[in-house]
Amino acid sequence: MKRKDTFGLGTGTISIIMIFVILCLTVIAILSYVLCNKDNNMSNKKASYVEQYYLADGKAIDILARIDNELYNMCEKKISFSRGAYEKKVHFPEGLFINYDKKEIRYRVSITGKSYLDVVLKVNLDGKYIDEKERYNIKKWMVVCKEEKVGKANLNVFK
Amino acid sequence: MKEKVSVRLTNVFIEIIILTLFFAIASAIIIKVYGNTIWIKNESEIRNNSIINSNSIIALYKDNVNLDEAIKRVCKANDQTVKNKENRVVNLSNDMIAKKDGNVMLVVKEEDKSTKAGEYGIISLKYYYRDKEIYSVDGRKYRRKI
Repeated sequence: MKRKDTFGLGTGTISIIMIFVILCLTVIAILSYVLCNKDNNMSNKKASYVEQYYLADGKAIDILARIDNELYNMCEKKISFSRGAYEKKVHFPEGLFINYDKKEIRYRVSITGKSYLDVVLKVNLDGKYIDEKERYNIKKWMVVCKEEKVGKANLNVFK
Repeated sequence: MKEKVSVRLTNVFIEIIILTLFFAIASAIIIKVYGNTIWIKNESEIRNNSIINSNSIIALYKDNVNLDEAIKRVCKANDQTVKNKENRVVNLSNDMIAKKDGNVMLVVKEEDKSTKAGEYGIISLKYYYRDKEIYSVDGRKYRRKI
């Protein structure tokens, strides 16, 4: 019976161990890269939504400033907030929903395709008393998400 | 016998050389991947913190707090603010990434406009990480004249 003269690792053993170690390192590196990339994409999405929100908020503030300017003019000219105001050369910005009975001005500014900023102002100008300090109050300044419409084709899932 | 030993030694030597080359190439690639990962992680961490930071500054600004005071309240006490004619530059300390200082810079620009009925202010906040813009946002406020 032959006996082995030497005792220890064979020629290819170190190679196999090395390849295994490098494989492990590569897998860990790729996994951590994928995870970080996912986090980064999430944070990018969050940042872009916040940017869009402040953009919409800025637009809403611009519209508010223009409405307030008109209300200020109405105060100066002692014009009451009624349907006749339009004939007296009061020009509110376009796209407003004006309810003269409730004395409310409502407008919407789109944030993304799925959400918008809903603003409701309560106007405090009446014919009898015009208080310049409180021309309006902000009744609502809220982000609203649109409901997703489900098409007929999508309802076949339960059939 | 001697020949056998020398052949074996040569084989081991060749194996070691090939392994060393392979390890060098593989480790270079792996280190590059790790480097990129760390960079991306830092970027997203700074961006997330910048969003929170800027939201706080804009909220205070909208609440008619002076811009310098708003920055002072939101940023750390040891954050240095340099005020120029056009903007304010804040060197943020280790608030953004743990144990790393001075890499994140916040540039704040303020603009005021006034109309007959009121006045509104615009602030633009820009965050830089090693001279690369990470996040920017604009905030507005309106105050009616009484």
